[in-house]
Amino acid sequence: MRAARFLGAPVGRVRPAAEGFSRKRSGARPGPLPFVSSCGDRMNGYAPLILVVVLALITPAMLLVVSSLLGAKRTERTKGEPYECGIPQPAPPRRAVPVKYYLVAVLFLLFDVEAVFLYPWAVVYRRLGLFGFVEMAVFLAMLVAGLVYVWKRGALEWD
Amino acid sequence: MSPPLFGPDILRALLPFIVVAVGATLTTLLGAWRTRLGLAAAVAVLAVAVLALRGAPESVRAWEGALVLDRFSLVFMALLLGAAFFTLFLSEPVLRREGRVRAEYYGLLLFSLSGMFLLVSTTNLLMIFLALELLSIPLYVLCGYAREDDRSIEAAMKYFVLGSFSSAIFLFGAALLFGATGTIDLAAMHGGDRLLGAAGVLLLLVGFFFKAAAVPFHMWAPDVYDGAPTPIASFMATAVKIATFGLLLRVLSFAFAAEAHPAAAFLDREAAEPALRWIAILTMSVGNLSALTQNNVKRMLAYSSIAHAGYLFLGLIPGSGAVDGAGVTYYLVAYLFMTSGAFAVIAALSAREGGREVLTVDRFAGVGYRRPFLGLAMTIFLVSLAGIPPTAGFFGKYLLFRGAIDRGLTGLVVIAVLNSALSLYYYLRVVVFFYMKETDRPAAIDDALGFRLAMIAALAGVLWIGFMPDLFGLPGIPSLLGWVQASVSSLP
Repeated sequence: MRAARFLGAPVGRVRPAAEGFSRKRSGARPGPLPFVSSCGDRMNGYAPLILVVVLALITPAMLLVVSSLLGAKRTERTKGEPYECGIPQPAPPRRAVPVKYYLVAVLFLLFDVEAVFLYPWAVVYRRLGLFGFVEMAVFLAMLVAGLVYVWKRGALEWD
Repeated sequence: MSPPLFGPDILRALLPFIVVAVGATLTTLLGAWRTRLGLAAAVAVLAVAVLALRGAPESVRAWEGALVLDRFSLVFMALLLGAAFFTLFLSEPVLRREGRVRAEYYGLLLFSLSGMFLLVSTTNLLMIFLALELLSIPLYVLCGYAREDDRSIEAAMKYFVLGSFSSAIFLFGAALLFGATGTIDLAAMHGGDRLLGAAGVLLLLVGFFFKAAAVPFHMWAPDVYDGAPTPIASFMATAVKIATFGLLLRVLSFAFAAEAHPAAAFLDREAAEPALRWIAILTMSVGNLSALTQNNVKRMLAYSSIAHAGYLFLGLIPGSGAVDGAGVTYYLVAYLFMTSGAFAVIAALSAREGGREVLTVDRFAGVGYRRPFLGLAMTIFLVSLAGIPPTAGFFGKYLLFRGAIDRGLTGLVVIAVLNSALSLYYYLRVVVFFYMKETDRPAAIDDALGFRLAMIAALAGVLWIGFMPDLFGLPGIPSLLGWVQASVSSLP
């Protein structure tokens, strides 16, 4: 079964998520899934989902309608301000932010978030063996190349 | 027995990809030390890639179709390398002129090229997605490379937003197709849930058509080509088109394969063929009709590239036979030479005035007399684009149209021929301005060596194919037609 799947051989009408189970229940023929057999049946499986969507649409709409019907309406200048908590804002909110923050955010994404991949690798390090080690070395080499580049271009210096 | 996960054959097959990807990384790194050496590094990488391509094995299939190296992918990779060389020729003088020489530019170009390499040598949906992204993301950056030009930024933004959207559509289609068939290898797909599969294929093709700029997914192309630096516009018009049509050819030849092939079941032939016909008709007609009214030559070439995609679609419709892989590939060879040549001329004429490129056709009045070679070259490229013998464009169209007639698509061919006749107007209009008009504000002409080399190479290709359509029909050198036909023999 494994070999056949690796070759990309067709696995019949088995739902992909169910493949893992079908191996254990060897002998049991994979019948058609309940929601694949016909178009009408297919919709049944989605009925709860549609219900949630409908509820999600109705609830906020109802809240908006009811509060606009029952709520008091007072318009004041402070209400029009962008951050409404009673404190006068010290400066106009639309001002230039140093582009360096943006750079820091991008570099954070690059080096910090991608380092997350190291944790799952560490967990299965022994099972992956040499192949995994080489793959990870390639991945790290790419990251280091990126680090060297941004370092050399001066992207890590604040001033 | 399962095939080996890794072996010397697979390593040799991977070598061209590794060379280009590692070369791209190193070239980019060069930007931090010797940024002026970018061109030299890129040329070196491409040269090594040529060697790696020559040594690559001809039939490797590994990792559930993630890597498929056959003659077809090798031919397309060779074409892509050609397009990359043309782009390098155009890039250096333009960058120098605008004071923007940086190694990162070449690095990004090589990254994009590695994506295209992968795109034409895989049947695995996930790999196709990765390749599409690797192709596109560097191009988004390169479109906005002329940072001070608003239109360049606009082009990058438009391409980025629409491109990511189309990638998402493609990904959704791939997910549906996986859900329907239980595999992500196009070559292994067979049967499965029809409705899900059809929806998946539809979304998949929308993603491809966007990259190929087929109508009605072409809206981005004129603005992006116009705003992007001219070498990048040339790269998009040639390399991206070659890569996408390589992919489309592979995917559709699986989809329309003979009934015996299990993959044939995943596309409803009765539904897909009319759709493809309409896309072909719309793409060539809208492309040509829009090009008619353009005064900006770069925009005109953008619409013309849309129209050529329309002609190419003729080869993708099976009709009573199969997909015409040889016709499409041959046309792409001709298209590579003539389009690169035309863009080389445009690049030589696109000096900036006050930060913007001025490429309206009336500024080109008299160029044919001021630079006889440039004028002659442009005339031949445009005549070839219109499809008049004895040029490459004629034989490309001839093969494509004849193949379509043989497969019973006479109506489509009539429309295509009418479109070609129409295109004569806007192609020859440029020639009229080159030779028969005068202006008191003539365009500046850049005589850089790179442009000339590109023009000479393109001219040689266009004329050689034009006079000897069975190119390289000399003893010891394989013929172009034979080469192309052999390449598609590895498709189903």
